[in-house]
Amino acid sequence: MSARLITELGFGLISVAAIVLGIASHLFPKRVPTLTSVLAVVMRRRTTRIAFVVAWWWVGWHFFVQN
Amino acid sequence: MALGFPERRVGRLPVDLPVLALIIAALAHWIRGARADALIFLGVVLLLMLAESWGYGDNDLLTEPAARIPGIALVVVVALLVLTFGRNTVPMMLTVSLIGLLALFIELREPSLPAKPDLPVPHGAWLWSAIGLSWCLWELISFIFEQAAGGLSLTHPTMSDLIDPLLSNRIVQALAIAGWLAAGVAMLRASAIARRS
Repeated sequence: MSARLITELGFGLISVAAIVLGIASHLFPKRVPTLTSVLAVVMRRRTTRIAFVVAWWWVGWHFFVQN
Repeated sequence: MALGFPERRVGRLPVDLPVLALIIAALAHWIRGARADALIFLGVVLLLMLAESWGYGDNDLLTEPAARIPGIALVVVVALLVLTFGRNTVPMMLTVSLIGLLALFIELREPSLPAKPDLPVPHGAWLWSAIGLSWCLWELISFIFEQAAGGLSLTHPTMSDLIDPLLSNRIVQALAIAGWLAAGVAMLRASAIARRS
């Protein structure tokens, strides 16, 4: 198994885990919170909000403007 | 993701963990040669520190209705724009810049909420934190290998290296920007609801 494949599998595994968790949060809301409910708690602080907004915005900038 | 749980101290400390994370991100951009990105991140850090130090954003704002964040219409318009012009064009640069500036303005304007030690963190929140941290760590490892390889690693590609080739088609670009924008709108709305609840 090549290093590249391991790297790709790692990203794939994390993405699948996020999708599964997203589905589980809607199927079993008492056991798994939705991402937005977690964000709502985390983002009570301005610095955290700004950090998240900048990280999100940069993804758009990177893929749709910068290349 | 667990950096800013509100049971921790909420005060006027100008530098906390999220600010530190932004500074580290700026350094990473500088190292990979993206000077403009590094300067943008450092600019935001500066703005944020000024806002925290000067107490910009009164708690009175919390009694006002939250800024209305457009949803589906905005997503559709931006997707159509990228479908028409394609990415890496001046219209897209202006559009993405404007979206970022508006989001930043909305969030900078709003103060931190008062600390509530009794506010429960949702049960199972650690699962989302684990996924977020795993992604950051995996990306960091790939980034380090990539830098060691001189900027492009065939053996340890970063997420950008993997996604970028998929965005050569404009329809995929439109779908991707719609997903990106929808995620951002959902995040801003979650934040606005939390502030007013």
